[in-house]
Amino acid sequence: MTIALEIKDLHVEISDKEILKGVSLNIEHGEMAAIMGPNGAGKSTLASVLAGKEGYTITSGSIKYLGKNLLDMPIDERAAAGVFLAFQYPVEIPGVATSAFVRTALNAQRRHRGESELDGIEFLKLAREKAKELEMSEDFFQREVNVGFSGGEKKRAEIFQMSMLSPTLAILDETDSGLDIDTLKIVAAGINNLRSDKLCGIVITHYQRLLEHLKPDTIHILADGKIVKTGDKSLAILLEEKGYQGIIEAA
Amino acid sequence: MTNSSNIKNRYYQSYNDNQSLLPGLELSWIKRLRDDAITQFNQDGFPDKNVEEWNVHPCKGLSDTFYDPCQENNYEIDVKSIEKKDSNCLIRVIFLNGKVINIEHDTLPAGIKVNTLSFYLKNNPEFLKGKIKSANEYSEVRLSNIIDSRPQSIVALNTAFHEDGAIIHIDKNIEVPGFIELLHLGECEENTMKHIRSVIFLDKASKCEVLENIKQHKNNNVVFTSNVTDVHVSEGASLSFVRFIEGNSKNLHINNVHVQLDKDSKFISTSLINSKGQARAETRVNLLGENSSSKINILMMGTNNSLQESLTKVKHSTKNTKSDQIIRIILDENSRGSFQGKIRVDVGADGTLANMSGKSLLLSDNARVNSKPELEILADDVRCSHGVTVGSLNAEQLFYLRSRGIPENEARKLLINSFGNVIINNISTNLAKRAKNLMLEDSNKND
Amino acid sequence: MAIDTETINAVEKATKDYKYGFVTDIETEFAPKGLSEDIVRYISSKNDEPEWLLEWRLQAYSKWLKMTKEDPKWANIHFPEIDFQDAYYYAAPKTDAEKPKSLDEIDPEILSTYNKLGIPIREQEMLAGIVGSGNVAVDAVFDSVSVATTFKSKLSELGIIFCPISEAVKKHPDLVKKYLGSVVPQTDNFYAALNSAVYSDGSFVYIPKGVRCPMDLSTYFRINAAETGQFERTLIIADKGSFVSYLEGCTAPMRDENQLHGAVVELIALDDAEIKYATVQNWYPGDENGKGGIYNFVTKRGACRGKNSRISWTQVETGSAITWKYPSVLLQGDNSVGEFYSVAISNNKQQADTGTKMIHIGRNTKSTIISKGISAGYGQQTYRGLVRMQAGAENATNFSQCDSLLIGNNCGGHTVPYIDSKNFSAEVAHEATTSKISDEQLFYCQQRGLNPEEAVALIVNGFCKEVLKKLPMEFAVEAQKLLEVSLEGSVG
Repeated sequence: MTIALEIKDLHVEISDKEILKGVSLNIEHGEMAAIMGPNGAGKSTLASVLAGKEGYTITSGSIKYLGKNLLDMPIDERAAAGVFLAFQYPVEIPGVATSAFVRTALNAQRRHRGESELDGIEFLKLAREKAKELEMSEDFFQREVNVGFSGGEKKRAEIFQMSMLSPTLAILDETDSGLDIDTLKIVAAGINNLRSDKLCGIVITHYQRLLEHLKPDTIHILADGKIVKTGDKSLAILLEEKGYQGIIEAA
Repeated sequence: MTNSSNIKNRYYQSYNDNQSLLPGLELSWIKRLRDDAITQFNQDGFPDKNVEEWNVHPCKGLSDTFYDPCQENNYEIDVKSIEKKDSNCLIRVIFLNGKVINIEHDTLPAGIKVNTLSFYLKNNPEFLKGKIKSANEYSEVRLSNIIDSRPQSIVALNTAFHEDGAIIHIDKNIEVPGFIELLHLGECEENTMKHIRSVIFLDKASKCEVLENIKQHKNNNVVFTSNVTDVHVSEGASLSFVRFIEGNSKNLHINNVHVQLDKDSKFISTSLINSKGQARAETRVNLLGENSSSKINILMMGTNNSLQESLTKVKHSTKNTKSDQIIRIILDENSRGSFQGKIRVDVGADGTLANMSGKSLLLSDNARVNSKPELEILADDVRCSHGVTVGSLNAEQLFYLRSRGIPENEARKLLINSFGNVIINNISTNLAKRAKNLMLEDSNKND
Repeated sequence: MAIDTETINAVEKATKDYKYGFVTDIETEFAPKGLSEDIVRYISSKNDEPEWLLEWRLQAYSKWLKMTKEDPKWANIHFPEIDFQDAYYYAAPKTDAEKPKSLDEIDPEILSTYNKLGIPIREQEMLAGIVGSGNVAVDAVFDSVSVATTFKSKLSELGIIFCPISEAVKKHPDLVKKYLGSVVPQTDNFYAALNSAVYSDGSFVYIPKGVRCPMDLSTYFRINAAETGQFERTLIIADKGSFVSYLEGCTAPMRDENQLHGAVVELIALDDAEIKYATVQNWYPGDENGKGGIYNFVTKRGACRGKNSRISWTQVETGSAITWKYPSVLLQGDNSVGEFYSVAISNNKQQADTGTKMIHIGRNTKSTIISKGISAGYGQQTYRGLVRMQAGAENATNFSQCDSLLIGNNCGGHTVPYIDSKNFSAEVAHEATTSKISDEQLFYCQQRGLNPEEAVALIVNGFCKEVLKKLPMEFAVEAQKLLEVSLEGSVG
């Protein structure tokens, strides 16, 4: 296996306060990595910086994805390069139908990659297929993006978008938060369906619950802006037993 | 036209002839303030329908009659006959026909100063300097950047002619227990005019509640009264300002409150307006300090041929300020009501949160309401909204209540009360009961 | 914020070059500059008008002279004084003086102008006379005089009259006489009086009883000759039980002088009739500094005269340096319905003060107002509307929703609704919000692969959706195109 994503000694500040204090992380093609850690450890910051959100100052370090310097690329170019962020709080866009939104996004990415755009019929065929996999009703194609969606619907819609856009790097930012156990299973199955040796993933979560379904290859513990421990899934179990404090102290 | 300009001249003449009656003229800054004001009034005259802020008011009544501003009154009142001061009331200032006749108070904690305007002009004029604002200060700045002083010509008249007022000065960190009442009683000659000018100054981190209680006149003459209050709430301070406005069928009352809010300060104003004649309340709030907030609640009730008007202007001048306005208008018989509300967000006032909700209830065929909720937004990082409705009692609710055995009159009363309750319920416990009485009195008329 | 800067840049870039800024080189026949009784007579005689109309014009002119120019003090617009003696009041394409009988006689230059304007191929085919290629009839007004009318025969089979108003005056004088000025009286306002005196031409539509007009009627207005005041006059009458959908679209060549446009549009719907009037307006708004551009002072008003009648105004306003426009409905007939759907964009130094008046007179009348205002650059945008419930408007209802979207720190979005209710059984509800495109929304869209311009366009389109969906299909596409030109490089 070769390395797809390479984060080297990443330092990030928000309004002069250092949040990430030297994160280094390698993720291989096909690898699913979980990042766990207490509140305020910098997990969501890492996700946002990977996607290119404004408001963060990268003081040093680098992020390379498929050999390219991710930090040099605008947000939409990163998306076209295969980076997908499933938002912890998906954003509402009133007046825009979900299908129109996804089609616009998909075709923008395809254009960017020099691929042909999907016409309405091709798109609908694909969308129906993916919706079915996620046990989603087609009604939601016409619903406005995330407007009036329940928590579970929002998360499922994120995974639907992910499957439509077929990224190569998926960052799942607390996708399990606010989900009941049944929805969690559907969402996890949706993610598992997408797993292949072409997709690598970063799962950000507080709990082991989602990881039971996703079975990540590696688990990293992020605390106070640094990766303090790396291991396999046994680490998650250990964490459930000892809590973050126990692990961090031991590290 | 000639008539009204004649009348305008008579005010000018009266100002020159009666200088001995106007306190403070020996102070050069007061003289300038008054002189500038009469000049401004002489230039603008009374507002007419072309002045946006006055387009509902029957301006003819103002401009066609000369209300003598300097007429002495021969009425007297036995202080003992006035209903007793409320037990929650710390200080009560009693005005008769625009002049303070008595100040009652319990043992006063330190740091609370309440006295008359005349007293301050004599003993501590420096305190008032800059706190009594020139009428010009509140001119409307139109979106086209034109400065329009015409809407404020009544304030100009007040600035020129005010004879007395109350000065409330709360020291730093002082929390006033109970409330301070300014009770306005009247029994005036026909075609006279009374101007009252008050100042409320809250020093840093102080807290106070003031009730301005305007009673209907004992006799029913054509009388025009104007109360203007300049309010300054310093950093971290909090003022609750409550107005009860009543009036006789021939009374015309115009009430202006101008509020300046410093950093982290709070202003809550509640107005209950229920005049049998014409009553107009203007509330202008300028949020000058970051994190300051303003809440304006207004309940207007009209019966007979009355006119109740309310004008608000909330100006967000700096970052991260917040304002709320709730207006309820209940109109019965031939009454008319008007609400003009404006939220203005200045350039750079990012992070503004502003909201306005206005509802009007028409109970009769002949009642009429005008409503103009306005947004002027010049900054982009804001969240502003307003909602306004006009309608009658909900037939379905009425039916529901009656089907439960509640007689129609009672059901109506219940619904009318619940419509106004959103305002009443926001009144502090000190004053809630009195507010309810004022309200109930009105809906009983529907029996 | 950086994203704001990006947005502003995107908007600036998109609006820098006015796409339709070119001048067609056609000889124009001018009346002398300035306004006098002689000019009024000249215009009337040029149109070969009957005596009664000349009298009507002269009456309007004498009333206009007595009116002081009351530019509304309340309107949030400001501009230099207009010198009414320094403008032309009549200009007609010279090659058109003999009024061509067929499309072949149309000046090829004019046809190529439409081509450059990007008029849909189908409509161009129709302009070229290929009958049967679509179902939109175009009465093209080039400057002030109609130069081509298509589908006339198809429409006349149904008894529908769709022709220049100058022609209607001759062929259907009774109809014109009966309804001209009946909704917008001569003295309604300064510009309406001026229009009544000097209007050059415009469209006339009459739909007979019980007829559903089988196609959308469409007119493109443009302003071409320099310094020519444009005073169109449109009159649409829908007789009992009829239906018509009318589309008006405009673009104008780039000019340095401010040009005044003072059209009057009158709609009359009788019992059970329905009129839908849609406008997409993209006149030259002036450059980034506000230089040049059109002054658009228009009086548009419809009267729901009959019971159960219905009038709906839909407008997409992206152009003009100054817009002052309140398409209104007088709801006279019982159960009549008035609607106003509006999208207005003010960018650069544009100023727009627009809205509607819904005057409820009859019982059970109903009105809906949906207004979406978008301000960017240094644009100032004001919604100003009046809802009046007259004493007889029993059980009348109104709902208004006015939303403003602000892009950038230097623009303004204002909402000024007037509500006047004299009837206690009438219900009025008004809601308004002001917001900006949130950084979160922009980030979300970009994360999914949209560039910043596409993201803004998508969000703006979503913001306007309620209004855009009211437009006929053909027009909706054009409207989206105009939103793109006004704010964006491309819309998804």
